Amino acid sequence: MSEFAVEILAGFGALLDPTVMAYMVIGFLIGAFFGAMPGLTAVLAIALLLPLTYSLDVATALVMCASIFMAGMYAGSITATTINIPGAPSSTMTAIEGYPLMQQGYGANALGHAALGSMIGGVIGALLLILLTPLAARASLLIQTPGKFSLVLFALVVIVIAQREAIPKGTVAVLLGIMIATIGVDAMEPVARFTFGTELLVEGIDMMPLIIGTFAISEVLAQVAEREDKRALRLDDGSLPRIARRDFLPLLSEIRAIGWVTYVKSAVIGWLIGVLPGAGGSMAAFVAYVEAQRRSRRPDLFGKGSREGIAAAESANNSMCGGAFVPMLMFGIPGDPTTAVVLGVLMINGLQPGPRLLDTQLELIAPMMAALLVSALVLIPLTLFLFGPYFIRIVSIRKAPLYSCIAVVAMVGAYVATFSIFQMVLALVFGVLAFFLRRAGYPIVTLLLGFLLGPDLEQYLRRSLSLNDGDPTILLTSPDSLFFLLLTAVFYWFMVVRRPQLPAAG
Amino acid sequence: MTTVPLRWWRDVEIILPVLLLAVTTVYLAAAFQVSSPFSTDLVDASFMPKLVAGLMYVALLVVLRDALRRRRAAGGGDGVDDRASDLVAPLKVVALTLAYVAAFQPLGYALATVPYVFLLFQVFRFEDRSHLKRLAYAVVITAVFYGLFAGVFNIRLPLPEALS
Repeated sequence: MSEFAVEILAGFGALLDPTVMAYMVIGFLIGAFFGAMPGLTAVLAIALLLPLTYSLDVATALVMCASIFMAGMYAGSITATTINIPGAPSSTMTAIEGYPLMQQGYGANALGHAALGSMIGGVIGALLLILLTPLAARASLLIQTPGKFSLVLFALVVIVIAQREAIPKGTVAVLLGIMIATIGVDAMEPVARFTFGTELLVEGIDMMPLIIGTFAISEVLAQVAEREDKRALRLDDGSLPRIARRDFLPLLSEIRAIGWVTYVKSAVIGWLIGVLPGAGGSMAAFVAYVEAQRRSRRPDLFGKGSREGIAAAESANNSMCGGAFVPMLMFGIPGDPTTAVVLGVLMINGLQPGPRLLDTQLELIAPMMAALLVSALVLIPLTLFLFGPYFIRIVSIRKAPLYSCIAVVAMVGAYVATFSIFQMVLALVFGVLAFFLRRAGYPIVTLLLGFLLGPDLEQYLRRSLSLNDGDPTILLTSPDSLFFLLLTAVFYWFMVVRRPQLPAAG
Repeated sequence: MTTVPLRWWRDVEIILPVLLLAVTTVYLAAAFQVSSPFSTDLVDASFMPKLVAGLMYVALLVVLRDALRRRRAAGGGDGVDDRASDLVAPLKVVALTLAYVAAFQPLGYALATVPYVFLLFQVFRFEDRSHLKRLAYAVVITAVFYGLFAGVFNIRLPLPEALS
């Protein structure tokens, strides 16, 4: 048995440790809450927990992130089905099919199909991650410095063009992220840049206040800015459906009608879309949904309560979780916003993404991969069975205590990272900046990705040019670089010039 | 939602790119002052910032052009919803948070957090609760997060300066 397989098995073994298991379960429940609650996301949950990872073992922190990610992706289907408000953008397609079923009296059955699809997709995605990561690691070793620059450029371009209606604004946000990343001492020369005479900026901008500010503080500001009538989503108890646990079990005849091909194909589609930088769960769900409708024997049911549509969308968005980890772990390029924040967890804890991660620190990564699989296989159905009847009540939580709690955790979290008041101020500054960017329609996730990928982009470009006496043709003569530049052109052609009708990336 | 004409300087679609243009100009000016003592290359520490600033100008001008076109199509500023009034509550939260940051170390976690949460309740209009109940909620939330940070994760939170 290869060393990799042994480490992966040891990763599953690590989950049996009561502490690690407790954090995995707590992470899953937090992810389920944030995923189900409209306005809250798994990204926000991980961003809020980011400061706490300092006091956690790295492997445990990553296990918690993985379970939050899987739970957040699945839980969006709960409110999508029960009240027609997707808890996360990736559950929009589930709402189209789940809510009509709810109105027909089959809400619990729809939730059961969403959980089954999420479980199958999540498991397939995690298995593909475990099986294909070593191959991706070997492939990444073939890429030279000019190729690495073009790969990062490809990632940034794809992230921007995935914004579809907001490409110029996405470009501004990504460049703003790169600009923020250039503050501090240059990585290649001992030169301080953009410190404006203050020592506080010499070490650069920490990732923590940026992530907390852009995702948590800006969310608090956005929520308080909403008009009063939207502030509290309260449900009249009489309108809450009464759901028994047995109602969640999908019938075997229904599963047969959906067919294993739909589950597997949707999961593979979702996984492949997850590998693409910035594409995210909503695009995965949409593409799988459209494909399922195209191949369905009952396309007439789509839009009126198709269980096949729910299965396809949920299989794809949960499988996307596994796919999004591949470029993040091997190239440091996050596949979606959540893995961008998980990349922050890695970097804060001193782990450098890349093929060497598998050689030297697989024991820290393996439990995370195992947690993805266990979360999908065990925790999704278990959570639905135990807490399903109460899920609907999540949306009746008042905004005032909820967002006050988020504000406290965010600000105190920014402080505890370095015990610095300056970090709290930075978190607030980035929160206000992100609030206005969001208000004007700028995708803030591209700002974060620009910040994360900017230093790599700069280093690889400068090294490539320095090695070739400043001649940029090295980017065209190096085969790996040329490959990624051509790939960028192909993506630009298909996503911008011949644009498909897809929803905005989430 | 009401639609009233917004002056260009109150339209976030216009004012934001204008502000970012100003920021980019300051950034570019600072980039020209970055000197690399060990490098005579073109590709020194100021290379990327200059490149990014150049691209930023182009992107911002495109955004600005699009925003102006939309304004013109909407009839000189009509059609933009009245969102300026929505800024009052966020500004209150920002002011409260600034005060919280200023008070965090001198007053310590507990004494700073209780009034912060209590006043956030006011801004969020936590209805159907008396002041006493709101205060009780604020104390409970402060205590719960103290337990989380200090108890579960063993993170030392600041005490009042007078006590430490």
